[in-house]
Amino acid sequence: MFNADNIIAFFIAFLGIILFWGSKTLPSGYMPGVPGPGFFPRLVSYGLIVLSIILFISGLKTKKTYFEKGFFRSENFKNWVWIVIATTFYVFAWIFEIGTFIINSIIYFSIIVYFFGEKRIPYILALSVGFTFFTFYFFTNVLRILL
Amino acid sequence: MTAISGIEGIFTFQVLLFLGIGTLLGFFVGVLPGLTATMAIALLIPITFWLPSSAGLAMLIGVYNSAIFAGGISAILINTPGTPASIASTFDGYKIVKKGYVRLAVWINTFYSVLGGIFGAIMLAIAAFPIARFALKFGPAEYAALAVFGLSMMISVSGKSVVKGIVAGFLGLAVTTIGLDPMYATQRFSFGSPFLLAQISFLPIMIGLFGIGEILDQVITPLQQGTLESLKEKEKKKHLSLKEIWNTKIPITLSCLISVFIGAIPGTGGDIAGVISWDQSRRISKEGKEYGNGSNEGLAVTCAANNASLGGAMTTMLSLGLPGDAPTAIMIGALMMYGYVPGPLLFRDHMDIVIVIVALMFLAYVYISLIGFAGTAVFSKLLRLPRPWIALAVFCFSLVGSYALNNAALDVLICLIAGIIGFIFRRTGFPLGPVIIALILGPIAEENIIRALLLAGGNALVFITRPISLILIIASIVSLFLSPILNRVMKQKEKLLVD
Repeated sequence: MFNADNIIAFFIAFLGIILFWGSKTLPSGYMPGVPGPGFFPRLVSYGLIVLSIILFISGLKTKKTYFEKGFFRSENFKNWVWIVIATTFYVFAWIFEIGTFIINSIIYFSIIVYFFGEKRIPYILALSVGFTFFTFYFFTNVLRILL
Repeated sequence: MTAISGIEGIFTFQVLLFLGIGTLLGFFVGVLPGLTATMAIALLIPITFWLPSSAGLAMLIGVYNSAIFAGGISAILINTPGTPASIASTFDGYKIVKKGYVRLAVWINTFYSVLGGIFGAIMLAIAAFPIARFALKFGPAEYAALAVFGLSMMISVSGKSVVKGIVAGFLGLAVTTIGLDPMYATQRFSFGSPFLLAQISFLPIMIGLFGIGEILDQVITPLQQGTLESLKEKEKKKHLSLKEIWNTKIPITLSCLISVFIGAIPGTGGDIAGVISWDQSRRISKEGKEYGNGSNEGLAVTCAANNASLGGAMTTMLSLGLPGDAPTAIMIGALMMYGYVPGPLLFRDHMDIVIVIVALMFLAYVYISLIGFAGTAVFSKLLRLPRPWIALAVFCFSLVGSYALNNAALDVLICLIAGIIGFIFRRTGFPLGPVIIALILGPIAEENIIRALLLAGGNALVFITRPISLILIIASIVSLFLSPILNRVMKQKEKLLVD
């Protein structure tokens, strides 16, 4: 039965293959006995491929799945997903400079503190506004970093 | 700057202020289970980046030392170690509290933490300089062998699964191949992106792995934490007498020596040092039979050991450039950020910074003793802070701090991705220590291997014909086989002691 170890082994093997493929375009050496820029990535790719096989085989032997029954339907996992989605939107808004730091942060902090477990609305607002303005002030005025 | 000016530079208002701030932050982090010194240091690096190096290092060292000390407080009061290094403090600390000696237990934690910490700092002051002087003889072959030795330590920090530890390490090595290669400046895996060409900074990765990854894990698996019951003082005893302190001299000295040595071994930390010191002291002490049943001496030994190991870890970090434990691995990053490369050349070229760091290790314990004796009761109230508030603070400083490093929004994305990977690693039993070791030592190993071979004209025997390099390679091979055995022995010992 497949478990997390097997799935991760596939990803590791895939990464190893990409690394190996990419290192083929790099010179392996410029003089005899001296490795070139392609040597180290190729060495790492070999390691990853071998380790992925070992991990896959050891994963087949273990009965542990790491994700118990009902995990993906659990309240905790749903909260986790919302936190990751909100953080992803927040990060991409930052990258593409959508909105302002203060407005984005107040919305984002409100959402994630709710899914962290704080359900009292006044506290949510106080925390999100407080953290936003404290962070803004600290980084822009004290550390001189433009947010 | 000379060494004397380095010492003079410590006794400025700014340095002393940030040392105090770091000490207070370290208390906060150490007392709260789930927050680690490693996380705190990683989160603070973007902030300290903008401070003068002395002030920034003061803050980080303050956090490091006081977090380890404060971890003992929650271990004692609620039987949950605040930091992994304090696990051995639960063997006796909580039982002393249950007997009614609350203030006594906290006093023991403070007194012996300061004692152990100062012992470790003295060992740092004595050992670091001769080791660094010796390491000045290192050439590229020796540095390469040293880096390989450090990488072999991935196994000793792998915990339960050696394979997963090595996988985590190789993933870290894979990340280091992105960007310009260190010797030939050839583009590797940058896909035309100027951001990737400049190499992925390992600081956002560390912040993500330890900050965001930890909190995401706690969302899924809320921390099972003891409760701060209403603790009643049944007896008036608040501290040990001078005679009682004197009677602990032999076990304390032994535990400090053992933990300094263990702390100096790359990849090991206060948790292993604490458990082994406790066990060894139990064997030689007249009160050994009381250990594990609420023994004052048992608690004293672990508190001293936790903090003494810091001196050993810092010795290895400063003199050899190898991380003694996870927090010092992150401190290597902090030093590099300031333009100082830990290792023997640091002693040759920047002796002032070395003196500053050694002096700060002593000064931190002055602060810890002041705050520890005066304010522990206040800080224990931190244990009542709602977890969502702390989680929000960690997320906030992780994301904004990642941005602050290079003013690059893509660093925030790196931090988020690393956080998700950190969560997956925690959930599936992959250790994070090897990732950090690989991120730091991978480029050093690659660069020095190639440089050594270039200088030797392509003759690979250079690594065996040079004696220091040969010894380090043998040590690497020995550690590859010995570490899994030692890990198993230590875990069995820990299980027996806990049972």
